[in-house]
Amino acid sequence: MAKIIEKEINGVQRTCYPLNGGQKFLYYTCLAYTDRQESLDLGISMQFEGQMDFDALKRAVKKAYERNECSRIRLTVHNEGERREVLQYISDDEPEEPEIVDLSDKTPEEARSVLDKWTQVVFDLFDKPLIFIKLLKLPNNRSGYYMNVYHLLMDAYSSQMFMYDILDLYLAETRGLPEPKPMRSYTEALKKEMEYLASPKAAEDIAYFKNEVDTTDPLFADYLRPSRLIECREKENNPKLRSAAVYGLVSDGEVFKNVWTVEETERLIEFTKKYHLTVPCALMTGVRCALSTLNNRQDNLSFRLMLNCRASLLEKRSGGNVINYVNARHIIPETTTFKDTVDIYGRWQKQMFKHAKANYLYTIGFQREKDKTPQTFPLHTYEPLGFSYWPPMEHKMPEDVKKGMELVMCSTRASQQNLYITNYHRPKDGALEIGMEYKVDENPLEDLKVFYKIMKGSIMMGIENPDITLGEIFDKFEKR
Amino acid sequence: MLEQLTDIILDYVEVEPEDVKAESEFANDLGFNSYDFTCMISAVEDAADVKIEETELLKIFKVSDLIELIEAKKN
Repeated sequence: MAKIIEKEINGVQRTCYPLNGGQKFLYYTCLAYTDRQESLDLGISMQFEGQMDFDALKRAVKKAYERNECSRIRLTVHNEGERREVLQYISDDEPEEPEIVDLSDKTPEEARSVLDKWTQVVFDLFDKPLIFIKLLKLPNNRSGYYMNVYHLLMDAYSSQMFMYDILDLYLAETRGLPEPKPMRSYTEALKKEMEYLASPKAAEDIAYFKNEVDTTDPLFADYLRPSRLIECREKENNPKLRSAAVYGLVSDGEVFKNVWTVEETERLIEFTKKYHLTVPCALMTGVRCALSTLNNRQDNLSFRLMLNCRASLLEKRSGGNVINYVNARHIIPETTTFKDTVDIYGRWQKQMFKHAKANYLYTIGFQREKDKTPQTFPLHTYEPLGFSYWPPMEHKMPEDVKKGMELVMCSTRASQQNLYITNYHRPKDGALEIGMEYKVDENPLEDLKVFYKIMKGSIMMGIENPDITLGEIFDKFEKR
Repeated sequence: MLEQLTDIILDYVEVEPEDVKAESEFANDLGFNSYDFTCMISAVEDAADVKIEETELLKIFKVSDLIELIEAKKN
């Protein structure tokens, strides 16, 4: 069982914890196989109309560091005999005061480019801070703040929570609003996870995913149409190959972004409420329709679903990276209606969620063992893309602040997944924003645009007519 | 039963105790999503020493649905 270790680091006694599941996945899978360490930088910026009081903002940042243990995580290497392990501890060192950077003389695009550049730094991984914040003067009389935090400390959810905490602390001082509620302890959440990992439930959860690997026979289907599987079959001289060796190498990435109107988003939400379905399952059905249409109506499809494993308030308010992955593998005949397909995903999710804490590393291991595929890069996979959904993060703030607010997720310009689809709701109006991170060298943007058109179009068709079958949707796109 | 259920619910969503009523819908009124709802139900199963089947779970939309189900299982 994983242990908490007391050790002296640079003359100071530290309580060192094992990495949690989300961190282990990133460190031992994503980071281990790339020299582009910056691919795990997480850059995020909150921007507002008008000029913020930077002295008050500095004080808010300082308080936010104090309140959020995960912002003070340091990684350290622990050697015990021949065993080398990466552990984490919470530093109580005073963080650097954020500098104020004046970008007001640039165009918005130039300013955005600077933020992206800041999101491509290489952190010194061990026993050093893995986060920095800058305060911004922006074009068009706007201002805000930017954070780069290494992905092992926070994920998209907790990084937004942290940024909102800064905002709430700032508004408490500058507008006399109530202080935000205390954040919860990251180390308490770590201990809870360690208890779970030592429990019989953990073994039960791992067994669930082993069974899924043992009982499914997936077939790779790419948004680049069947070409990549065919290429792999020819290269490996194996006409029966079902997985494609396309996963794992980090290369230059870009993001293709699309925003739905507020009206379209509301129609989607109303549709899911009416039939007791969920928005992410409707979006997954759209992904399914696109993959199937582009792969000769293939009904056996799989893609990787990213899970934000936060259920309790301790998990929601303690920060950190608790992302896990599961494979959404289903054979759904094209005679199934759109509504029923969304429901199939929903029912599967409810069953799978009971076991969702089992680390994805196990699933990868079971699949490799079953298929006997080589462990060289690029790795074999059945999953052509990753998918995530972030529910609207309702956050109370004064209307004038909300109206001019923009939350910007910055780009590392480095991508490990062939395609990663993130779906989230804009804070200012709740409109759905779909970001598709893709590899520039491997993935033609024009094909991605076709994929997106079918994804969105099929969802709109399904909302309009929930009883339309998948086959009828494919027919409509094939005729175009 | 409502009081015991409220204690568990308050571990998962940021609402006030008085917001949790028998007619409250888990998703629309209390803000549960699919994942935290599933985890909350597991906590209820442990606390009440009952097992809720998947088919039964699909019919739970309101707090009263859950209360009725647990009471039926315990009787």
